[in-house]
Amino acid sequence: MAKSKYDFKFAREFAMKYTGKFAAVVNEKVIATGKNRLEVFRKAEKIAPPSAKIGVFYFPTKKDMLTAL
Amino acid sequence: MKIPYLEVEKGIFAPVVRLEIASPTRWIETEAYVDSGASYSIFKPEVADMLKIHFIKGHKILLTVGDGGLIPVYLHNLSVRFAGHEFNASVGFSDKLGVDFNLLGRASFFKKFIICFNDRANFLSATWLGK
Repeated sequence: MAKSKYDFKFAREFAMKYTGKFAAVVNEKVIATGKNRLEVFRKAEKIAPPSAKIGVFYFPTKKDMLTAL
Repeated sequence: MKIPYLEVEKGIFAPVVRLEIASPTRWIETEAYVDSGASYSIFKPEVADMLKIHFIKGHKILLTVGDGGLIPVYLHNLSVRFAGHEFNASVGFSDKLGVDFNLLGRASFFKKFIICFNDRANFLSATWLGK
């Protein structure tokens, strides 16, 4: 998938589908989800090829984004 | 490079980007809320665990947060990839960060990119200035 197309899929489809959750992504596919970043990463490590990039993302809620950091 | 904002709820967007950080065995990618008001990037300690970093071994600084309090942040110099470029960046970790997401702040990033927020069109543009 072209990078810009994936950027858009990530920012729209993934963000809406996994709101308030953590998701692990390998090769642009979600391979694990959950409520804890490290648990999701550990699940992904078992599935992903040894040197493959693993992405673990928190998809914030509307409430999370009401910030004054 | 144009990076679309994350749609957190129908019609509600936030400047959350993807960022890669090198671990000893692989690249780890995670999210970060781009916070131009933050002096440093601050990541959750779980990200340090994913990177196999003992985060409290970093250089300790104290940063003021929104309520006026101070939180300890431990800085590490790490290889990162952002907006199609790879470089070394000062990355902080803190177990006192009171939000579930990571923050991308000015140190290392805002000197390497011109970062522009477009809240009308819901994208962020990052223009590479060089190392």
